[in-house]
Amino acid sequence: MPVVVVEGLRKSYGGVAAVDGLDLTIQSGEVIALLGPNGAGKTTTVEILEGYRKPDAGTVSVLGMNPQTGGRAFRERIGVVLQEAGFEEQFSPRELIRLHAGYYPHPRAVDDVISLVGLEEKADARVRTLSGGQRRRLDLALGIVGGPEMLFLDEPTTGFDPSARRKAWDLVDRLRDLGATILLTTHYLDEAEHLADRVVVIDHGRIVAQGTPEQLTASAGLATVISFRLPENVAAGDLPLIGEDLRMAGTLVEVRTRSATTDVNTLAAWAVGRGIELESLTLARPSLEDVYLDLVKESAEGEEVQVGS
Amino acid sequence: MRRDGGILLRQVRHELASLRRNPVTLILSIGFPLLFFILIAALVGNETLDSRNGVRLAQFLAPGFASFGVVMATFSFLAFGFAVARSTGVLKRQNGTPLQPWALLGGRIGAALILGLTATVLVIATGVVFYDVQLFARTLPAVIVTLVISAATFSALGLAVAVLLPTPQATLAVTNGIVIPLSFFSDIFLFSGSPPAWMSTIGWLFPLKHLVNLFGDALNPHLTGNGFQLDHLAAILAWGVAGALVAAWGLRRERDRATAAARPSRRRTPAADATPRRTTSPSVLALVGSQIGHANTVLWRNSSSVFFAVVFPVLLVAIIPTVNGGGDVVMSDGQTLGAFFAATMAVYGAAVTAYVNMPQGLAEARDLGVLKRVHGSPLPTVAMLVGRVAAALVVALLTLAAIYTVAGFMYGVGIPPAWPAMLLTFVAATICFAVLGLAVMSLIRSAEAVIGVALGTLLPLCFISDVFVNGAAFPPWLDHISWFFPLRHATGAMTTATSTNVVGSGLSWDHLGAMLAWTLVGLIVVAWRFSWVNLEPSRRRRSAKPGVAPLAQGGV
Repeated sequence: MPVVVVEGLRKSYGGVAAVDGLDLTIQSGEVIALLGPNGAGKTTTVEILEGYRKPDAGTVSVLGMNPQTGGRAFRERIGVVLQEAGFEEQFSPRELIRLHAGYYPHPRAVDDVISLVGLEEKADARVRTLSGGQRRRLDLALGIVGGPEMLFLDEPTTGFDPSARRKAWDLVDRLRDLGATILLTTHYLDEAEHLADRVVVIDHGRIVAQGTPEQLTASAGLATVISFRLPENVAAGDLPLIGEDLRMAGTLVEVRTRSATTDVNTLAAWAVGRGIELESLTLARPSLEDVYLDLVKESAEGEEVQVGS
Repeated sequence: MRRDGGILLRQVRHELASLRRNPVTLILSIGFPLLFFILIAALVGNETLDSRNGVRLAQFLAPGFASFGVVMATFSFLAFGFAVARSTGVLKRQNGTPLQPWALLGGRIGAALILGLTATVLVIATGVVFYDVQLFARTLPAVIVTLVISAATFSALGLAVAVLLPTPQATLAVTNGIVIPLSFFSDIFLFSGSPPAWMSTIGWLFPLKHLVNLFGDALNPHLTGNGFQLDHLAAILAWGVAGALVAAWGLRRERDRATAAARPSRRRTPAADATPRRTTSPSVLALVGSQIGHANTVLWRNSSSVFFAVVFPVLLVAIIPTVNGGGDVVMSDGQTLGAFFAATMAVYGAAVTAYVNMPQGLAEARDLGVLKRVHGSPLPTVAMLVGRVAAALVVALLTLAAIYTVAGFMYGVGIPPAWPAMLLTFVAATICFAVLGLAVMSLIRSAEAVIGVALGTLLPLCFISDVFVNGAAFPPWLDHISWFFPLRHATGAMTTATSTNVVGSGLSWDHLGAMLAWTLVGLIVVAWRFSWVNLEPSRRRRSAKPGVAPLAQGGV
């Protein structure tokens, strides 16, 4: 059953389209990562789904309701972690979590939330004494205290240290296990790869690609990379002709290929024939980052063409 | 040397620019002394005291208010600015640059000095132009030396206070808590009669009274001589040296201080936190209840709001009648001075809490994005706003209780016979102020501008609405203006309801009607303009273009 259905969503600010004809469906229990460069329209999209902004055109349904008119009944069932929002600094995390718990019909226990986000040590200190990462955890705590069916996370781990990020990921995994549907935006591709069932890449307010991370990398049509170190007494020109593109970085050779099996075979035969052991030989699938950069580059080039014509 | 001078000059310029862009500082340090001076001169009557040399009363008022300007700029605002710079990390960042500490402090002190002197010059110039205040060439050098030494002294004391206090709010509260009572003790707000001897004695212990007297004597046409009085100057200097020593000690300690001193609070965690609190939607009543509690804590945890709204009115009730001959002096309408000021100061406290502090706190929360987050929760707008208004009412009622306790203790003012009318009037007035404050907050985008507009409208109105000054004869146009706004209706209704020889119920329906009308206007503005979210400046500009629809602000 779809939790979110978006069709033909448009929103512009002063004539500039921030969201430009976006369609999106999210199934119950899915974790979706919205990826895209700064200004791609991620936050605008999320804020429309949350009910903060009114779309110019298109239909939006979240949990079967219109976020614009759903009102209190709607907000009792969602959880929102904004990209940027401050706190009333003169309160402690426990006080704020308790206050927010009071807004919802089925809140989680305050203590549970504190330990879920890992704020036990700072639970009773004033917010102004919290570090950046601790504030973000409090943000997260206020977003999940109502036990939301649908959770929106706008760049939830920006500013976290690596271990805090791992913990946040565990938290999201746990929320997913509890059945929540989660839409998150992020700049970290490893985060999207780790957390998301499905990745949606948007740019210039449009979806440029979507699918599981595996599907994306497979369908991107990007080449597999064979890399190895060039042996000392061999010149680059002596290498067999393999792949579509060969790049050198120092002694590191990177060959992009669409026929990896054949090319690896050719390379190996060549090396074995000369009695050479190829150091650091690896065969790598393109990473999500490669795919993403490729998609965003393509979209930017498309834009340039439009401007030129 | 040359290079150092350049650096210092640049710092001073930078600090001046930052002061200029902060409306609150300008209003309180330059606007207020000038406004006080003009209003008091107009109210107590700028009569000619001596027809032979044309000396008028303003001649004796001007030095006091000019001194007040110096103290506000160099003591209160230097300290507050320093505390803000420290709390926002600006100071820390500057400490990481090659800028010498002396240049950093020099820049701030220099800017404060210029600000203080500007306030002085404005007061004196206004006096010369409009009230025939006379200056004497023979005492001018003494005036300048006195002002510079005093400004340096108050700067040193301001820094000393700032390094000792933890937060900007505390600094604002403590500095004003010192300056304003001290102004009464130092003859600045003394217009008639003489204060009790103990007040005078306390006044002489502090530098402000010495400054006011030096300045006053230098402008006194009945005295001769060059105006240098070494004993007064020595007293001021001594305070300056003491302040500098404390500031220097504090600044050295400052460098090693943890940025955020975490207070290890080991409060017991309530058992209720261990389990979910309910399994149904909370009722609107429960939501409003929790909002009242929350908004109340917001007000009480801000030390400057507590000071200005609660401590300050109570202090004034203790001070003003005492200075003016005692709280049991009976006025022409049969009320005692103490009873009168108890009623008006209660109104003033309610106005500061409901019209200034509460909306300001909400505007700050909006600036920070706190309201945006809350808007994503199921809390209804009405519950949030009603909670804020009710919290202001709670604080105002507690202030009322404190004021009547003090007035009863000091002047024997009892509970008014028509106390139900008093309570009803007070509640109506507070709600009116709160709704109007919310209207201001809905119309104005930044918290800083909100406090500027709120204070900038409230304080001038206080002077013409029988709050600080009573029984003055206004020119008719000023009288009309004062009766247009709700503040004078509030004080009018309160003094009627608290009168000891009350006739009828004590309710003045005309005043209550005027307040109700204002409340309705405020409600309409709030309903029409209130927004949870602050528009970003760039988008605001765009939406201001003709033909472009304003941005949706997320409902409401």
